[in-house]
Amino acid sequence: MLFQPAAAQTKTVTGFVIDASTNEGLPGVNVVAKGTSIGAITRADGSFTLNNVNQGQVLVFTFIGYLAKEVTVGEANRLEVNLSPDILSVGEVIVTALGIKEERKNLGTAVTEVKGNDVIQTQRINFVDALQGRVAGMTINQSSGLPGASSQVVIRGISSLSQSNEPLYIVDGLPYNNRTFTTNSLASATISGPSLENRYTDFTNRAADINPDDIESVTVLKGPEATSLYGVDASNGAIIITTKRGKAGTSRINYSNSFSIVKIIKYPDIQRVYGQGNYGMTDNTSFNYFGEAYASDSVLYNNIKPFFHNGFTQRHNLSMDGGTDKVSYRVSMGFNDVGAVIDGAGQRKINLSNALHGTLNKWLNYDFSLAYTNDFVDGVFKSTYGPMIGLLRWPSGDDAENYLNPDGTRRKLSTSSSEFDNPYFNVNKNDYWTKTNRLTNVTSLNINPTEWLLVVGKVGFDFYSNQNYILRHPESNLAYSYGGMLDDAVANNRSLNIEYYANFKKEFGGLNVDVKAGSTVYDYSYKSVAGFGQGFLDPNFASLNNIPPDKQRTRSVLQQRRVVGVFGVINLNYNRFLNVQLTARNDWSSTLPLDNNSFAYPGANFALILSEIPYFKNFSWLSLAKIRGAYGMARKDPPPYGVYPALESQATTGGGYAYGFTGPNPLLTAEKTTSKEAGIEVRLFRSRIGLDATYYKKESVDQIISNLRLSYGTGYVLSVMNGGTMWNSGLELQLNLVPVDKVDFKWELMANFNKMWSKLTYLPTGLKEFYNSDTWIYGNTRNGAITGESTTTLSGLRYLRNNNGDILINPQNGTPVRNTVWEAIGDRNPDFTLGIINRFNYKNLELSMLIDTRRGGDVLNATEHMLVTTGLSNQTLNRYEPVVVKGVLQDGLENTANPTVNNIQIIPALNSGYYYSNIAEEDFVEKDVNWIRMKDITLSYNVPKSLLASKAKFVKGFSVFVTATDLFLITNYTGLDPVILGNNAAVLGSGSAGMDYGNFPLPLGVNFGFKVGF
Amino acid sequence: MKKILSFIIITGTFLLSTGCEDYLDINRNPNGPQEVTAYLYLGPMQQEFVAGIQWDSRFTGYYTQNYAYYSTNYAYDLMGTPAWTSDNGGQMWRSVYWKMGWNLSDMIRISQAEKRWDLVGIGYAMRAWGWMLVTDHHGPIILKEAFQPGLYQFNYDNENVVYTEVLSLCDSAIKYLNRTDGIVSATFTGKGDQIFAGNRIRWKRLAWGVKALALNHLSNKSTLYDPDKVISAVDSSMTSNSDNALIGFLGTLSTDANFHGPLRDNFRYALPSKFMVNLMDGTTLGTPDPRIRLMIPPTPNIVNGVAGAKYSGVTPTLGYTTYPAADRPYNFYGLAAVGQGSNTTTGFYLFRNAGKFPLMTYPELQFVKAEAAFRKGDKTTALAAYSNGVSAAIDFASSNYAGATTWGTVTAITAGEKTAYLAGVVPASETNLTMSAIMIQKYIHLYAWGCPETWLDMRRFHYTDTYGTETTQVYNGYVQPPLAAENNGKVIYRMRPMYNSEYVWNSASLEPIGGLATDYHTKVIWQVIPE
Repeated sequence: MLFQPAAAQTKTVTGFVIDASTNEGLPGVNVVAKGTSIGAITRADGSFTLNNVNQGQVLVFTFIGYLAKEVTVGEANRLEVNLSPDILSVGEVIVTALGIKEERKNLGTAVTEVKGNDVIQTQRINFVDALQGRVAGMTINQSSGLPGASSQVVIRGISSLSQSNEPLYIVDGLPYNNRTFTTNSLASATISGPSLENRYTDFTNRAADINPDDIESVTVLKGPEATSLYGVDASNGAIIITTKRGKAGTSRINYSNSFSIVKIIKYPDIQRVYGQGNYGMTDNTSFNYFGEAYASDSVLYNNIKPFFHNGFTQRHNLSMDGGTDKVSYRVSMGFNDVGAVIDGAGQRKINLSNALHGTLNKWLNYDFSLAYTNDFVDGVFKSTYGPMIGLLRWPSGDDAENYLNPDGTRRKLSTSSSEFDNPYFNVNKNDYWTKTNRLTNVTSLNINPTEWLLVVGKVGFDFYSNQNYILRHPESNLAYSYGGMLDDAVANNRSLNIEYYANFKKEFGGLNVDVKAGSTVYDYSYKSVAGFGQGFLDPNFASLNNIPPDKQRTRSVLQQRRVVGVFGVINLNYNRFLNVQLTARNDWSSTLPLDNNSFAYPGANFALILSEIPYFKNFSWLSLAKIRGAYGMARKDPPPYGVYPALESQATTGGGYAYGFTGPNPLLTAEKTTSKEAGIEVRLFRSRIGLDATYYKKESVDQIISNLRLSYGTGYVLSVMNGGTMWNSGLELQLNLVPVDKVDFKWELMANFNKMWSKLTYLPTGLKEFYNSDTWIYGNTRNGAITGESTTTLSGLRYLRNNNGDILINPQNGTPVRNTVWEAIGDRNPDFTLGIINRFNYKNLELSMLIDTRRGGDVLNATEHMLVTTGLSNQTLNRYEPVVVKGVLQDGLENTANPTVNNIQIIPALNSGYYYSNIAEEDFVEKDVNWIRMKDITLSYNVPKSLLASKAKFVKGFSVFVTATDLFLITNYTGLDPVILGNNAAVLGSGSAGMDYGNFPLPLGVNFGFKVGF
Repeated sequence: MKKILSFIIITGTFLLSTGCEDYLDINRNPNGPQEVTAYLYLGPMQQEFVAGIQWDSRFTGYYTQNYAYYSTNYAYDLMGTPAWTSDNGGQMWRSVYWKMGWNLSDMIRISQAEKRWDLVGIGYAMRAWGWMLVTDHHGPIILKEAFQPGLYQFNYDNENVVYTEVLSLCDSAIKYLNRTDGIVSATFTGKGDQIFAGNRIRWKRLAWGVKALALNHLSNKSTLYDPDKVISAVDSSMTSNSDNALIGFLGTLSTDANFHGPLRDNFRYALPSKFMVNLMDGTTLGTPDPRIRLMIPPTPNIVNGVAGAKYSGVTPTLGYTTYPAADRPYNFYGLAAVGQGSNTTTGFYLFRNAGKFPLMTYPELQFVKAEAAFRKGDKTTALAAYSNGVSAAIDFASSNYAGATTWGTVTAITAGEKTAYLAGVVPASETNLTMSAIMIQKYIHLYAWGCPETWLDMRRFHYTDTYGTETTQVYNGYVQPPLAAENNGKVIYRMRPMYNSEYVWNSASLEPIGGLATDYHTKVIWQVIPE
């Protein structure tokens, strides 16, 4: 007779297993009492029942993709167990090119996955912003801290001088348009005064239309090695988004909300000692501040602080999902009402989505998704036209809040035409908004007739319509001499995408062969129709209908582009320890000359998984050891219509036709980037320590350079041509640690390190600098790339120096002489960036945070240069102290052994030119800007399932959270915020990151909310 | 299953072979045509041509002391050069190379194929004129290598090479404008021609006019200059004020408004110069000029109840604050205190939003003839041409600029005023005619619109020359201003080529012509070097 334990000692334990990342029940988890055969598998809602267990016995919970957990049975009969996704899971499956799920360990390239829940937790309206710091090698810059700002994503550096460096966005397997509206589509673009040049406006990058709450996961493919199967648009990397699907089982309703307050934590500062004027003399028509000191009894206002206020945001998300093993569905709705720190800015966004997944029979299943976005952004002007500049330039002797006369007209301080717009007037009376309606769909069919064959076909459309309305008020400084200006434009974007492939799989002994072959067709169409008018008949009615016919202009822009591609990929896996992949793709693009429109690119990669080799399997401490290497090529086609000449209708008197700026180039070819990467990945002690290191180098040749300025001897101003060679290389490290892993307390840490190098090695026609003129937003500075320098330089006109490096001084007035050749004045590329993610779990409490740090990299503080040159900066308070500018006189002796040292004394205050014309922007490039920024920090509490089960049975989950975004910024940068783009994300090439002129900083946001599931 | 697979393969193959070529052939820009009917090129080129002249005269007008700046030591008053990185002074470059450039070549090519000889001739005349203006403005320019496909750097040709080409283009223009075969049609050409509405005869006279100017520009070249050729070219050119080349503007938006008009607000700070006011008010010539009320903005000062009765000329570099506020001149928009122009400002003289702007006139050519005859020693012809010139110049001003202005109405010149003035400035005997009188009258007539010609004239006389045995300086009363530091003590003789076109992208070609020197603008152009 066997020994029977006392009946009192055995009991039945019930409980829930919960996914710690989503707070939802986790079905299919294996529960085993350690050392016994007693076990169970969790049900659809995550519940389980285990009979005959003893107190003190250890239960082991395991589930693929999650970290295993051991729990000792105590006195309680109910258990609640949180399983955390194993971010390092060796068996983890992630989505890669073509939407194919692959085992992570087999990948020959560096791929990063971010879970949808981590994105949601950051409470960002534009999900792109949630990725900053989470992916090594990926940099995100926002155009402003105001709602609806565009975000520019650059992965592994600038690989194109004049084309887009944005990655391709893929949602549920097909491209998702991320275009940012450009002011070139406006009818004012052809009129030199009113033209906005992408400098004074901002429009959302349209990937922001995705509802973060719908995101299941985001996979980032970084280089051509990983993306070549996606073809021509993915040469800068790809962001692959998988949206949520319903799960089989009981239906579920989830509701979450968030209420937040945003506020400015750092205010700009100006001097309030000297008043308006020049040369030490008061002049109240001047908006320079080189006048006499304010009288001691003057009433001075601090206009800056009251201009900002707290912004209030509310968000609600509701989703329903469920289904059977044949059909599952998910329906979701999102609503966001976003407030800003100033008047005149805000956003309202509504998302609706439907997803349906079904199995028709044993060899056919389908997937269907439809998403609708309605987005309204109320914006303000940017840079020179923006309220920040007007706010800073406003005299402290005047109360800026009092911006209207009693009769409601603009209160002016002077008759001067150079009077700045009162910032309140600017944001309240100018009107500037964008409405977007977007509908996207992906329908896919998977045909799986035999075990070795799978045929996948996907068809989708992506359609959106933008309405842009930009009113410059008739009384505003921007437009009063025009009697008001109005741009009104509708832009329609339409993409039709088809992708299909066949997948053959077969195992031969230890060799797994997987072959895919297929084709894609991408068809893009863009059409905008725009009207512009100036001079309103009735100044109070802003509409194109209110403008005399002779002062209206229209502009229609149609752009079409089609790309047809075929691809093939062979994947060989030998005994699970060696994986070799060969890829090839050929594209035909409509934007190239017809007889030269085909281009191919190969790729190859391998992964050697040492830990799968029998010898290494003996080391129990070694969870994974892997060596990988990859080679890939990417090609990029030119923008449409560069090949054939086209005339443009002219707005001069009488009209007519003439060639535009850019000459045709019938010899265009696709630009080529080849990239190599090598990496190792090691995980130790059941993945509690993990290190993933990647080094890459990519070289781009035959760069397509658009808007290349030429001698007018060509008969044109600009050209698009091939030429230009550059390389980028970088080191990416990802460290994962689980320092503490106890039953009730767990600490996970992940760090992303990124360092990049780059060099522009060649430009055509002996050209020394290439720049994008849109970035010429301030003074003599722009994003000029110079041969022999890195690809991220800023260029400017520096002080002229002698061979010895001394500044040359004008012998007549004692002020420095400026060079006339554009030179590099700074490099925006940081020494390195480091993102640190920490997550602490204590019982049902979770604290997670992302710290974004950067070391080095230059930022142009143009705002400060403006403040100095207008006498507003505190740096100018010593203006009456005589100075002798350090340097040598430009008197012909400057390059001799005995140059004349400058001894000309000047009093800056009486010589406004000292500040105004002779202080070079190079002095305001802040070198080696470092920062530590708390991007987001979240504290959440999950109400225990057991509590819910006893108190409110119908509630399946309940959690509360508080999230702070951009909580603090520690930096040596003296301006407001070093991460803001000078323009918006529509600007191509190296863009305008690191150019700070009148920008609004990222505000601090504090969000509260709860999530409930029924 | 096999069916599905073969369907996919078949559609795929179809797309890639048969359909693909057509499917991808969508790269011809749908936003603009590749070629248009010939006259549609003409209007924008004429508008850009005049804009180039106007824009650059915003600088050269200070060199010639047509106007002076309202504040002190203005760089152009000092005969300085635009800031090194500025495109200022490069607008004719832009209009000739780009705005005319391929458009003009295409218009000539299409017209030639269609036997529209009038448009071909107009094309050649405009090309000749354009090349002449840019070489007079800049010195050496890109000529032979211009518009050659595949070239991205361009060598410069010297001024003599350009002049040879200009004269040859004039001959081609005249040859085509003489033809009436083919499908020469004033109706067709007139749809684009904003200068002569397609009138072939007037264009032919204009082509002769360009030739006359070009031949006369070489007056300092003993071997090249032939006054008889100048005289005969003038005689084939314009016959009266009705042949004048004028161009108009719609004047509603900045793109279609007169560059000189108040809407564009480009001349807000330009004020009449002391030199010019002295020429007009009788100080220099002894005879007050009745055109003064039409051409010179007065001061707000009301003298004996009469508005617009007092004039002040601003001395270059001194600014207008040398006068008390009431005596500071209105600017050319007719606004006090250098007021800002707008689309509702009426304007004054040439400075109106929709006004007509002269490009070449009958009186101008008569003064050219007078100069050539005078140099030849044929003073009888010289006096006749001079007399014609002054008379027609007065008629021209009177008929074009009388009427409402911003500050008040100015009346036309009466017959009596004209007679009195002619009596004062036209000598009874040819022996009393002077080169100075001819050039001064030409200067007055070209005031504020003929800056390219005036500047070249003044450079031909090195600003301060005295002609032959005459006792007064040709530009009587002209005082050379203090000079900008970068001039190294020398007066200005040329504009640097356009910065963004040449200094940034073609600087290797500038080196051989000395274009990188900081005082390049003081280098004397070939046209005026005596040889």
